[in-house]
Amino acid sequence: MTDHSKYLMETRDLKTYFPVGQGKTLHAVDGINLRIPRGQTLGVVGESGCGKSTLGRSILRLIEPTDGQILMDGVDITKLKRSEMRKLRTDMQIIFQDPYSSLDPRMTIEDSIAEPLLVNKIYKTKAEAYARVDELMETVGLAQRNASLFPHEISGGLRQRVGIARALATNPKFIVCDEPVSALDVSIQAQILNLLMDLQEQMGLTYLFITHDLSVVKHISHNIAVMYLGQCVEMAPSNEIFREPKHPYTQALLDAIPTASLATRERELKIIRGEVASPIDPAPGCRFAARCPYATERCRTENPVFREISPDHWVACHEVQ
Amino acid sequence: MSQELLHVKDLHISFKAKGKDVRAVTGVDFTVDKGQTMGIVGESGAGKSVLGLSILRLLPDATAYIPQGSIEFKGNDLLKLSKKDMQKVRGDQISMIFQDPMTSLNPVMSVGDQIIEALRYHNKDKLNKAQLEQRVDEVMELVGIPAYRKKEYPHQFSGGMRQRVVIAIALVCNPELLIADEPTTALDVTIQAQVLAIIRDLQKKLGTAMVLITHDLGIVAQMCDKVGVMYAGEMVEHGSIEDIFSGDFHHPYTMGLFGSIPNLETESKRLSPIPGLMPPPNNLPEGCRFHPRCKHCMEICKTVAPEKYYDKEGHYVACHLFRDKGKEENHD
Repeated sequence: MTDHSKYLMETRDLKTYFPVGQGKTLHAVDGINLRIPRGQTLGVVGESGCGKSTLGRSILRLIEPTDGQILMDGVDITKLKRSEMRKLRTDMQIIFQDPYSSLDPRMTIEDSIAEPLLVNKIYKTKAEAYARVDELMETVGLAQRNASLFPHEISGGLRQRVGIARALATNPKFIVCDEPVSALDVSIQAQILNLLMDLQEQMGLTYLFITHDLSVVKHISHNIAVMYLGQCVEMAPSNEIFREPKHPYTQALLDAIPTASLATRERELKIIRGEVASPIDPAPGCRFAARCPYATERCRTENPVFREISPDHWVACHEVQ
Repeated sequence: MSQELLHVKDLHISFKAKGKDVRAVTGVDFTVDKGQTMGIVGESGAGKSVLGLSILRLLPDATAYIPQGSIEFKGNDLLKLSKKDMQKVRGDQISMIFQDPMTSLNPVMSVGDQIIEALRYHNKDKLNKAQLEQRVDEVMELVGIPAYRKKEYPHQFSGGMRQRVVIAIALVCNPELLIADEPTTALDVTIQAQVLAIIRDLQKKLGTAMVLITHDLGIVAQMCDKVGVMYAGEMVEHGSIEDIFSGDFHHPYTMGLFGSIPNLETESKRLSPIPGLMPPPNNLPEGCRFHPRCKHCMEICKTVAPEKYYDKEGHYVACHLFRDKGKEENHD
């Protein structure tokens, strides 16, 4: 029995498959079990093509999941009708990666931010809606003088602030942040990360934070889930996963990051060979087996179960005790 | 006994745009010795890529020009070479690895043909066809691509493999200097680690010097011998890798860059980012170009551009804060 008051978002065996012709299926998200405590951030890391963005969109039903459950506040939203889902959308928002393509180039900044308010008919009059826009702009650190500008007239960092203001407009409880800082320079990245963390504190937001950047994910997340080829291979509290990574893929991933200090300079990087296999009709067994230095016969035939090895530390690997 | 391979002296690069001059790079000096790796760090728009392209004279003639400065390669000013002589240098003595392996390869040419192209053009050793093919096989093995794949086309390779092809093309003529412009930015971390290891091994084996352009301080720490930090077209700090990564003689911008990256080793509650944005090159502020974003900004910073202040040979900071602490550049 799950304690609904503790977890705002939960997925059970969530699957999203895409048909790719000739009777083949791409397993983008393949049986994901996540739990995000209220007011916390779950970071989802993984390399390109591992299904992390599809996961984020499936949770919001922007892509219809193939199978499994998504529990938002204890309600399975996969069963909801379109109209019911629509009402719920005000509670669930998304911030996209690319602030360049996620804003309408022909709408001013204030119109862009007002759009979700007007679409969802949150205020009776336009004047009220625009008053809320002013408030939102202040919250995310956008100066009033930018209100009537168009997206091409402002920088990437400011554009991402507009994206955040749009997501916040309807007072959501849950936000999927899909690589929100990847397109930004480091100094701007830090500004946006600080903003997201401040907002979480002020409004008690719950984030699913998708990124490929491990230093960013450690900074912002309470818990981290590591994905590989559509599956979650490890999930644990942020500090624990960095201190004691259990899954060989997590270990390899952490080893591969070049750190900005000279201490590790002479260290020989442990480099995993090979590349990610295709997610189209994957072979049975552990998906990482072909690249894993510890793989046994069992790993090549039997899919490991995602199990809790110590409180809140989940791993899918035969070799981890 | 000079080991000096490349010497960029007081280089200025400008673009003509709508009748106005846009100054992309101003007064950059640095040297690269044989076998050394020089890192150029900075954020988008700092002028890093323009600087890299200028060394190979790949900037568009129609808009870009170099009003001042020289780029000496083994004592010869590359800027004074004729077009024909420059072509002899490109791909042979100096070659380039571009950021995006998806767009820097020819999609309708097999990778083997693309590797052999540069070799056949230069062909210093008058190799015959069979020898050329053999050299291609060698280079492919060197970067870790099985030679039987040379008949394949770029779309049949993954991103990491494509970047290996780009590296093979750059290395096929055994260049003395490699310019790598964000060579791993488009790659995933595990693949990035593979590609960086290849570049490092090859450098050791072949003694190739490198100018590595990147925005990632982690890569700099792992790969470089010395570093130049660029901001708004200027090199605001320059020093050995130890100079940059330790001590407290640093440009506020360098400090800002370090404050902006979340640290994996230590716990930090909040990042300390640099407020504001880098100024566009057509609208640079008076005085120090960093002053509007600098928390140590003084009156003098708003009007007077700072000199380079040295704390020791090879390590300078262009910042008024170090006026008294550092020695001014001695022109000898």
